[in-house]
Amino acid sequence: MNIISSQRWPGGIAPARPRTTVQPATFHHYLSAFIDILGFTPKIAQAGSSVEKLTKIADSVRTIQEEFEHNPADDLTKGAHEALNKEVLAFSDCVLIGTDLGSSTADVMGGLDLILAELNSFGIAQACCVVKNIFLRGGVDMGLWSYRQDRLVSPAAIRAYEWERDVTNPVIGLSVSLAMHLHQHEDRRHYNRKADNTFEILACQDQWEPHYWYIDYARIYLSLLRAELEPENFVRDWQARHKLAIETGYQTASDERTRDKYRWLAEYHNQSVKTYGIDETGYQIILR
Amino acid sequence: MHFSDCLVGFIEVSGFKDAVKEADKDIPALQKLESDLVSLQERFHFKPTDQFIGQLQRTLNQKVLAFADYIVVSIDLDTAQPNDIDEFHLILIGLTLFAQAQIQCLLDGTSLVGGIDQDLWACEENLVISPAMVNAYAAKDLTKLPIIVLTNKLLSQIADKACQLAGNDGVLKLWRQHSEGDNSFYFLDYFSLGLIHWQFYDDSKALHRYGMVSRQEIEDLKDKGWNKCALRWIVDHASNIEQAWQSAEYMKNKQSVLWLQRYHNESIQEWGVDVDRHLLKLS
Repeated sequence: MNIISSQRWPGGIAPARPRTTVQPATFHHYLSAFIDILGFTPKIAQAGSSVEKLTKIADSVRTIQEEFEHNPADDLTKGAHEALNKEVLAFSDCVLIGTDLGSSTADVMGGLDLILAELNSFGIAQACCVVKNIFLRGGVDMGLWSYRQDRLVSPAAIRAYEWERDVTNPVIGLSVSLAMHLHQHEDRRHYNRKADNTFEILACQDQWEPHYWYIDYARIYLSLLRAELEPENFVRDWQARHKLAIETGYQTASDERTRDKYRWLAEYHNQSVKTYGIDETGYQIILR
Repeated sequence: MHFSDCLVGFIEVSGFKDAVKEADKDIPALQKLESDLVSLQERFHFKPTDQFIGQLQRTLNQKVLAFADYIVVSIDLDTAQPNDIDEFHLILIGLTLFAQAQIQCLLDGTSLVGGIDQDLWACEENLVISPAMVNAYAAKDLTKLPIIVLTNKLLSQIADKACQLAGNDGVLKLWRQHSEGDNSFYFLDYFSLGLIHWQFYDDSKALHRYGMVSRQEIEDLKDKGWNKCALRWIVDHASNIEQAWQSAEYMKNKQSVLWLQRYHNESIQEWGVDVDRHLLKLS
């Protein structure tokens, strides 16, 4: 063998130690959601080396982490997460949420109600983010999940991540198999057809391919506000902030593709206000 | 948040997402895939148990974050110690550490993909805001090959100085050019780095004698030890590619393995290794 003369660099490679042997991971059936900020990468690129702009982006990410209950401070939320074996993982601009569909709480609640409760909570979190000018996009699916020591292996999480990329609008979309699972869920037989509200928290994007069901966050949040003691003020306030966020996003959008997303959101807002909100003068969006 | 100039790498296990999706409900297959993540975390020293590594990370102000199925590593170029190492050499040390981890993962049977960039970085727990990380992620997506891509911006920072040093050191062996369609980019030349950096650590007797023999004897020992380790690295790398060839089922995987074969063969020819003996021929 004739290897050329050795040249060395600081930090030479020591022979590798044998890798640690670990116990095989355990897998459970989970509902998995992947959610991230719409247009995070262009925002970072636009910020360049401006620490002020980067810090503003960091604040947005912190808001998402809080709204989706990453590291909750209160005991009630912590307890709820424990009862559901729920994991809320956050890194950079994305949040990954896993909820055990086989936990003892799931047994008590029933599979269908647990999924609907989780989708509802995602909708509330999204509605709170949007009025702070943080538009989100996400995907939800179900399947096996294992998470330990910062290692996640989950076909469901990967499908949710990929589905997020197919979701064209700033919404949280359900995978086709999850929507089908809800549609065919046997627990729906327990409800009278008129009382079956399974798809009430969802809306369908059927204007172009791919068609999909998404979490109807405006309806969810407006319905929630209507249950308050003085619903009208809350509803008006949320509608106004939602309108302003969309108008501001539209005006500051850098390209036509992004403006199209705000046009869709404006239409979604107008329809939601008309159907579930207080449709008074000044609450409809007219983009110019 | 405190932002500083960092060398940042975004590293994943090659083909991990596709393999997990394909495994779907096959729990033993998923468990096997999890062990690839163990390798990724350990070889990049996420939560190191080794005192020396811990000290090295503090010296370089290095952060290793693990999330789900990837690793993000940052080395602070503003505050690393000792202060007398300039930024250029810090970057070279950083790239060497990435290559070292990549080699050790490969020897575990785990191929990696990734990107490395230099730019701003700020980290508080799981909140990372970093143009460098975003750029490293984008660089990773330039190819499906099991390589770690260096951004053009990073290269432009170090290429000139590297060329000046090329006459007296192996700096240019740190990266290598690759073209794919209209894209042309540079990647971390881990194979050559493996050949440059294998030292004679595995020979404990030699190491013991290091301070007790003449300078010439030390050089002889180094060459002997290095040749031994380099040969082992070449054989292990070839064997790893052969195993990958046998398990590659899809055309894109086969294309990747064929590319690795070409990379291996071109490299050993460049290094003047006994080609007839070590040329890799996949069948």
